[in-house]
Amino acid sequence: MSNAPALDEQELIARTRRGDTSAFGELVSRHHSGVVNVVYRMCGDARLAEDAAQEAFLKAWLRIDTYRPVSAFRNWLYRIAVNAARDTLRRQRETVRIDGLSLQGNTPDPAVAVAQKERAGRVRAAVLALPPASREVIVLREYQGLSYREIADVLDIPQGTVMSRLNYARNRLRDSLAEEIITR
Amino acid sequence: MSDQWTMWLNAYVDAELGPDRTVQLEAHLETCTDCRKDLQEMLALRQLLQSYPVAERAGSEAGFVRSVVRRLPERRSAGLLPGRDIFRVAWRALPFGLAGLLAVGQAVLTVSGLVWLSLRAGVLDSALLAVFSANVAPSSGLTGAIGSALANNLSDTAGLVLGAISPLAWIGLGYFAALCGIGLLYWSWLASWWLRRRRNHLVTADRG
Repeated sequence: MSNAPALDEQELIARTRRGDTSAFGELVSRHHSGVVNVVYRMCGDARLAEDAAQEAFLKAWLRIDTYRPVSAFRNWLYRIAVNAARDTLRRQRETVRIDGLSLQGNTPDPAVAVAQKERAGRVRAAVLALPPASREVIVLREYQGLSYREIADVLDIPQGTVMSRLNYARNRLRDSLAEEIITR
Repeated sequence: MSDQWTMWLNAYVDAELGPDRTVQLEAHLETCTDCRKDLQEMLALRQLLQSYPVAERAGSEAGFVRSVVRRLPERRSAGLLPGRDIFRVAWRALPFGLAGLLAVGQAVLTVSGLVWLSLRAGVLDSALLAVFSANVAPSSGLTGAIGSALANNLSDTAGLVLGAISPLAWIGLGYFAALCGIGLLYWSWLASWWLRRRRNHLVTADRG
């Protein structure tokens, strides 16, 4: 929201706790891209991701009193987003679509664009084929750039579990994308 | 190639490996072709994963924010706990409540046991008589003879009641039942806590 552009995040959180919806709107604005993409990469459908991200923010609004600044607000939001993605996956397990993929940015050569689109489709299919627990870890690590400690914090699991799930996910992805990796 | 090297390679790719292990791993990479190949594949995979596009939004960012803000529900006022919160607080307080109950029960049983033993031994009879004669009777305006009679009646009645219900047996039985109940409650709390934790964190865990 434009009326609180330069405010510190903790100040925005404090205002949100007092019921200031514009402060919360600013928090949504700052974090919505990350939250939408976490959910999108978890469930593979942009429309579902938008809906689930909205639900995640509504839950964050309702539970803002439970946030403790011992961990980053972003990690707290991601935890809610991951749970929203899990709920979405449970509801839509059989309806995740692999088609209808579109790429951001313009690629002038149509042949290159088609090849990119196909590769992206295979990558997405491979990521979506991972078990949810491994997918959460790979999404938070590879796409959101979280450290092991932050992932452990978001998912509330030990760092050793983060490492073993990452190892498992990467092995699975290397198997399923073996041709892509060799031809690169 | 061992599992340890694989784990270290993952951490190395993620810049999460400590300096000592990094030195060890880099030395190992110079001699192990399998690990070098593994590392190259991991890096290629990382690059490949970036081709998974970001979500293309149906509307603008401002539209998303407006939509969220418009849907914000009324939040409860501070200080009032809704049903779910009350349940959560009660759930967390349960083991402390049980421990407190055990302590109170233990204290009551100990004191009543001591009282009963004193009555049995006749110690409390004379003590009660002395206390009653010295404090209760004068302050309530009763004179010596009536006060003494009341004090005698009081200690006799207490002894009679306690003697009639075989206190040791009842106390032992009651204590045992209380311990069993509290133990059962505590173990069921622990079991359901473990199940909740397992459901939240481990049921979704895969083999990795």
